[in-house]
This record gives sequence, C-alpha cells and structure tokens, in this order.
Amino acid sequence: MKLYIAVMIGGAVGAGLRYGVGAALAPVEPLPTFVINVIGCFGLGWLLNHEKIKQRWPETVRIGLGTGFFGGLTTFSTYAMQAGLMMSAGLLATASAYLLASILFGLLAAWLGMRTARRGGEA
Amino acid sequence: MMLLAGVMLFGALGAALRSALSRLVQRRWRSSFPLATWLINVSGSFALGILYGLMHSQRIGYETWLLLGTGWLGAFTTFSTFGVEAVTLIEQKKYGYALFYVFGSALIGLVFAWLGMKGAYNW
Repeated sequence: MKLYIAVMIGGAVGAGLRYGVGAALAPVEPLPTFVINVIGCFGLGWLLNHEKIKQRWPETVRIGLGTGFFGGLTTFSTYAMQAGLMMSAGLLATASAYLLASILFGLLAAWLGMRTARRGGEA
Repeated sequence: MMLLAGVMLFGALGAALRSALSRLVQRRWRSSFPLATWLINVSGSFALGILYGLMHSQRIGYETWLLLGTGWLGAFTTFSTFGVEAVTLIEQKKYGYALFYVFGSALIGLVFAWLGMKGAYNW
C-alpha cells in the first residue's frame, strides 16, 4: 500500500510537470514531449543503476521516483499519437524522423544515465 | 490551477494503474521480453487515439481531454521505462527482442493510436 501511495505522489508530480512544461511551450509540440522523454530516460537509467541509491534509499522513495515520477513524467501514448497525426496529415518523413529521433536519443540517454550511475555509484 | 490539480490527480491514478498492471503481468510472464510495458504503451496509445477522436468530433471537451489524455493516459504509458528496458535487452545481447520491442512498440503504438482516432471520429 505504501508503495502505491509513493507511485501516486510521484506520478502526480511527474504528470503535473509534463503538463506545465507542455502548456508553457504549447505551440512547439512535439518538442516538449521529445525533450521530456529523453530527459526522463536518462533520469530513470541513472536511478535504477546507482549502487549507493539501491543500498541506502528506502524502496518507497526509489519506486516513487522511478515508477511514479519518471514514469508519469515521460509518456508513450502522446508520442505514438503525435506520430500518427503527422502521418495522417501526409507528413511521412516528419513522422518517421520523430519516431526514430525519440528512440535514438531516448535509448542513448537511458544508456548514458545507466553508465554514469554505474561509474559514480561504485561504493 | 484547477486543471493542474486535475491533471495531477489523474496522473496519480494512471501511474498507479501502470504499477498494478505491470506487477500482475510480471508475476505470470517468465520471458525477458518486457511484455507489461509493451501492453501498457500500446493499449494506452489506442485509448489516447480514441480520446483524441472524441475531442476532435466535439463529443468531449478540451478539459476532459487534458484530464484523461494528458493526466491519466500520459502517466499510464511511459517512455522512460521503455528506453531503459530496450537498452537492457541490448546489453543482454537479446537483439531480436530489442528490435521487436523498440519498433513493435513505436509502430504498433502508432497504428493503434491512429485506429482509435479514426474509429472514434467516425463512430
């Protein structure tokens, strides 16, 4: 039960932040979603691979931040729908570029986050 | 301000639902393929497409779209876990799974978002 409360608190803050950033930068969609997704990949990769965090932070905090905050901050449904909208508008190249750039930079950021944590987190 | 609070509330629910579903699937699924996140992201993309179609045909308002789309489905689906899981598959040298996971999430998610959108719009 405690873990679910942590996930809900983290999810609320993550979703609120995503909404706030999106609202502040509304006309330039899908850029906010792209940037948020890439940053979130780095953050989660870092959090899940940091030895000291694994050992010293309580599970509620780790799950609240990882599953809750970074999970709620980043989003897949908006990403897929934005690409679908580009495609149905006939912008095939833009849609493909958006799909691929998010994957490429997202995975690269996740990998960098994981690597940074493993290097810095060795006790 | 009220909208932000609403997005946060629905974001909390979306993140909790993701957490619960993911536990449920992982208890029964023994392969290293990240089925839970795949199912969550594809179904969430479909649902977001439906919502978009409903909004575009003016059967739900913009505020409902924000609460359920940005808040609930935005937090239900996740890009950060997707990125970290994909990198983990690559690190484990499970390239086939990694390829299917990455492109199977993006392309199937896109198609389902589009189907939901068209279906709801024409319904």
